[in-house]
Amino acid sequence: MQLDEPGYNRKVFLPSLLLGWIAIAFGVQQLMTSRVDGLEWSVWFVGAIIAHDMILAPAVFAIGIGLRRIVPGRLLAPVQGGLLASGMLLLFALPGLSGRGDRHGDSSRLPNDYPHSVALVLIVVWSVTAVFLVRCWRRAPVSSAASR
Amino acid sequence: MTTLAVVATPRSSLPAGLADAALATVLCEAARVDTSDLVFVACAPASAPPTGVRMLAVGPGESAWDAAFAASDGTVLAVAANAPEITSALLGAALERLRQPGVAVIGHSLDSNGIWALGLAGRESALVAGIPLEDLSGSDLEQLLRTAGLRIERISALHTVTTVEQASAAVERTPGTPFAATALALSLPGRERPSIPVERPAIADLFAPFERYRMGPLKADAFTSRLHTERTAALLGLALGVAFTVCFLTGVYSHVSEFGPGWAQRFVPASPAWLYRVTQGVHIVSGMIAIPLLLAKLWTVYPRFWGWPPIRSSLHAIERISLVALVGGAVFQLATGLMNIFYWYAFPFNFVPAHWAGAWVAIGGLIVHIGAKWEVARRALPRPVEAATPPRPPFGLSRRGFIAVTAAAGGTILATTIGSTSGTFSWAAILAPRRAGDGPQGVPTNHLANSQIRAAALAKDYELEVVGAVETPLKLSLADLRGMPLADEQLAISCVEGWSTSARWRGIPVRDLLDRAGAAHDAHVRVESLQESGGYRSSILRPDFVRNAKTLLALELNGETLHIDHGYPVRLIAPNRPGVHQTKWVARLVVL
Repeated sequence: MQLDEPGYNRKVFLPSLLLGWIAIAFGVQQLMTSRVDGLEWSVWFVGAIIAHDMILAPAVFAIGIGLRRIVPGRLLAPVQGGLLASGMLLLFALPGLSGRGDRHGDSSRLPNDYPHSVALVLIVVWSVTAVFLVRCWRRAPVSSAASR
Repeated sequence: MTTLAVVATPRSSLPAGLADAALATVLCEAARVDTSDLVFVACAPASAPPTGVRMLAVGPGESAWDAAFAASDGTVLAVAANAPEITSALLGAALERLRQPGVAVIGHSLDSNGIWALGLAGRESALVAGIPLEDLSGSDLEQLLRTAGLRIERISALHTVTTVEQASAAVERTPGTPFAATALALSLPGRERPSIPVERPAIADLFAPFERYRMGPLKADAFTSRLHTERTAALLGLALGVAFTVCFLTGVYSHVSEFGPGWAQRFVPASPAWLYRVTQGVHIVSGMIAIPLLLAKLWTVYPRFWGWPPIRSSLHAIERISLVALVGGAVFQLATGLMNIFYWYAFPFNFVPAHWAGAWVAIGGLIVHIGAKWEVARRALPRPVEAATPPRPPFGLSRRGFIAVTAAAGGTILATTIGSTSGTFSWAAILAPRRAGDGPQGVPTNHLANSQIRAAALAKDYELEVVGAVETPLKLSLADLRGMPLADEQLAISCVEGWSTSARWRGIPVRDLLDRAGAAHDAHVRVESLQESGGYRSSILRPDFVRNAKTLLALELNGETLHIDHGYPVRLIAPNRPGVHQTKWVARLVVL
């Protein structure tokens, strides 16, 4: 898919540009007057875009293409759904999973066994997925599903 | 046999003369193209077409575009009659591309979401039979044709003219045409004031020489999922916009509560006592739930990142630059915010000012984005365009499924973390960085007593001082304090990190102590800790907090003497206040 034609409503877009860039400028001003090193902040800011747009997203699309090749058509939807939910939840759980959290000797910080918790969540996700897999498998194969 | 059809739809709000002039311009250019058949298709045409042009009248309610394709069994290139920028060269190039097998040619409109040209070869015309092409967006149309197995060939996007303003703007781009002549003769309103710079497709044309180098994700058909649609993006965008706005507002409220200048702090009331607990809980929850929403949304619109041409107009360039603020801000805020509540300090900067600055950049980007996508959202949100969208391929996740999985991921995050702020669900908080009620005396801690604090707090000669602008400075031993009338309050420790726990506190109302010392009723009070270093060793109580009956110097927590890590011998506990300002190990109250 390519870009849709923009079709801007200028009466809305132009004021939003002004207002939005005032907020952005204020954020930058706040950054520059804080004790945060603007360069370090920018590295993380740009790094966030690169991490998503150049690493995470391509990986997800590559997995998606791979899935279409190896998963039978009628099972594709539940597999996609299971992987999607797992991926989102794994990313969310990453800080806990990393074990890098600074507990500072405080036992009420990070009270959970995160690998254990994630395993539990994934078991639930894939149990639900399994129900959908069985349902989709039982459904009569759709003729055109095989053609791709 | 090749048919060139000029299609007039009755949607124009142009003066009749101008619409006719646009049509005349298009027909004139079309007549120069070498085709076997030139048709003018119109709903109730106002004037007869020039000689040599076949006329095809369409009844009211029928689709003129549909009729154009029904007019021939061979190749049909249908073009809009209200696109006066059409040239014979453009039409010739479009017909040239149509000679390739399995190709659909599309020309998008720069002024609407629709198209100015659609070309289909041979029996492929049947694909669009019965579909109201007028109501279909260009991208949905592409999707439909691609699903049918056609390769999309895009030709230059052009302006289509349906309003007087658009007509005014189009005059400069169509010099020497009947359209321009008529428009100038009519001296259209606003003709002299294109106050907004006119978008010139010339920018997009700059990329034309690079067309043949397009590869990988830059190719028109690189992204095949039918979920990359406006409606998916609009639905997810709406949810994400709400989450971000709520997160931003609650965040600003927290920032003001914690660091705000005096004038802003005045808006932070002492009552209701639970307010900060709720706003900060909502801040963290909305941020966490935004994570799957953001991932799904970015996936949906990812093909646009590789859109071709990369810049289509000056406004489009500005929109894309603004997107850096939105995408960078959103990912940065959620990633570092999540890391921070999990105490993973991998970033080299101080979190609070970095998060504060990032919030403004992200919300600025969001404001611009809402403005840019206003029309798209208005079009895509209210009614499903399914009626005309491609038939569902029989495999893969549907849009509904995609959104349901995203919602389920968000729901799982909510279910496994809400217990960090709600004691009822603390058993379920398996992915949360905290559990409500988990800590000494059933309350989590965030700053433990070090050896310096222990020595000072456990000293036999501990005395609480009340000093500053008072008539009688006080020095009270622990026994003195315990001998005073004590009050019981149910108040929450609410951390800026979102977790909170409600507890029963017993202690001396601060206002009783100050009345005894003889302090003014409108005085501010600085509460100082025995702690010798650290950013939160003191806090300020504003007058309405000082005078609030719930503001205590607590001696007991949940029926026991205060644990050393909760601030023994005396800590401040006040309503509607970030936990870091509930000063522990209180040494003195300084009346200001």
